[in-house]
Amino acid sequence: MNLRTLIIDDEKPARDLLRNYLTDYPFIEIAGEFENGFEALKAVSELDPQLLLLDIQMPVLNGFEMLELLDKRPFIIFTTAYNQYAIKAFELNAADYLLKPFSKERLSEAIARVRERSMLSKGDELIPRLIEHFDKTRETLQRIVVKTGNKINLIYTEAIIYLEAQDDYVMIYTETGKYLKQATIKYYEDHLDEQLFVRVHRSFIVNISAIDRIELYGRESYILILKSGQKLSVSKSGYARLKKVLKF
Amino acid sequence: MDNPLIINTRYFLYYLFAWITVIVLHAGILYIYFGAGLIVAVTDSLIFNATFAFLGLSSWFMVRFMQAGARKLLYLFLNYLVVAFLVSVFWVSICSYILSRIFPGQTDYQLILETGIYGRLIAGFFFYLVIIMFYYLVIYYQSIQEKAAAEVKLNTMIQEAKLDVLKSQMNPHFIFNSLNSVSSLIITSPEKARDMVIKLASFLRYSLEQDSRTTSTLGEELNNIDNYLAIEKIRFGDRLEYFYNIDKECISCTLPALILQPLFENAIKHGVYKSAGRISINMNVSLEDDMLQLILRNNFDEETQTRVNSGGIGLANIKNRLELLYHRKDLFSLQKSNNTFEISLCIPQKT
Repeated sequence: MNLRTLIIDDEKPARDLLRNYLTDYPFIEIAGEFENGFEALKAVSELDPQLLLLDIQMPVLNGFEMLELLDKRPFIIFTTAYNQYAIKAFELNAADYLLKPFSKERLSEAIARVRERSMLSKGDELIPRLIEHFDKTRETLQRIVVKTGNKINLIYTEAIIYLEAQDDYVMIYTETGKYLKQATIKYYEDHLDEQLFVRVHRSFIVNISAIDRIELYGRESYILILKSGQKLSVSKSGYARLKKVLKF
Repeated sequence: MDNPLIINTRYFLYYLFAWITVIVLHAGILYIYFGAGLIVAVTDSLIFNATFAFLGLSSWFMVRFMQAGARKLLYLFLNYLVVAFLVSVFWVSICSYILSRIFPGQTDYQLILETGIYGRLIAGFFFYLVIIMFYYLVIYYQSIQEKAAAEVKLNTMIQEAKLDVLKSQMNPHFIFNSLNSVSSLIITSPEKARDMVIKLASFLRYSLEQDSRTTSTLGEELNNIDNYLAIEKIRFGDRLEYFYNIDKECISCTLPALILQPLFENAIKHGVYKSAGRISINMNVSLEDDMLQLILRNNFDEETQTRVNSGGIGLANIKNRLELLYHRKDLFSLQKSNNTFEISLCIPQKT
């Protein structure tokens, strides 16, 4: 069985190296190589690959942002010089995470893992033991990508006013509009800058710089009034978190 | 009011104590040797010395004024002599006048005032000079302390700059990706791989060598930048281009070591890392009025920049280093307009 593969990396020598290493595997068919997440995004929907060899830091859309926008999920082997993205990579069910520069043997292990997964056709298992070797700090999101129709919006986190949970989706409210994103509110609670964003309620995360005032609303319950005039309810634990971040 | 005698409580107490001693001695001498009455002696002493203590405090303004411009020593010296003379004449006449009005009928005392006039003038003259000298000592002591503090700060900054450069070398951005490129070139083009290893080694060596000396010549810095950019060029290919326009006379000019590389790194970080298009870095170097002028421009993709520019630490460090080395705040400036980022540095050249 052939694995249709895309190489996505913004540095040509890195792509050349992968192409060269991959000549050892007759079942790997390289369908194309791409310089950034944006180019790759289009290619994935057209070429329908089974495997992506994916760099993380790239211009326009980075590797993670590109993955978020994919409708289907091929197997992923990340290749990067950073180790601080490992946790996130495995959260995303990557088959493997190769730290540059890597050996032929290390790539071969990664490909073996992909083969194994594809034979068993189970793509969804975490590899927790691998995570131990990497930096455990979670990365903080700088921006969120959202696809509306065939447009890709880059929302910088400081432009977000608040987020609202809506079943399997999160509605992101910014100064310029609102965007629906398939994700959990918990994910954003974990990955947004905790000095700037506070989960004030089961359904809301708010950017503290958008807050105008907090008012008492009934006994022991509070309501948040944003600069835009919008009102959000605050839960008891949300109030405690606000108190901690705003130090009042 | 930055008079050290006033803002520093310890100095103020010394000053007060010194004058109390003088007042007691003065009154004692009048009473014992000149046979003045006790009340007269004490009043005379209080009025003369309190007035002088006040004049002494206000002479700080004179010292500050003379300090403001660079003046010749002889000029300063003559100036103070004249001022000391005038102040003491003023002091003796005012005080004598007041005292003769307080004790109008006492001819004995009038006589003491008249015969003592030269003694008082001379005493006033020397007291004034002593106070001025005291102020100079304080200023000198303070400037030594300030210099020492600035030196300590500068050393820390240089250590930090070194650390930053080291960090950027140890940075996954740069060193691991460069090694990955080498790994690739070994297969596709061993000659280029060797070339890149040599450049990487020179770059690392130069950065590590800056331990003992803090200045370099532009030629040396450019050599280092050439290595750095050549490595980045192998990684990014056509996405990165760079041009220098350097007046020949500038090559031997001096500048703080490792001050250029962070500028280029910043341009690459905010340009090439984030934009899919071509980023071009231009550097112009010229020498004007003993001032080495470096202007670095690069384009960037405005859409990819966050509003909060977080990459400013390296640049802030350069700004601080220049401030501490040359004691001027106007040597570093940056401008951001329509997709262009411009940094200019001015490095004073010693003549």
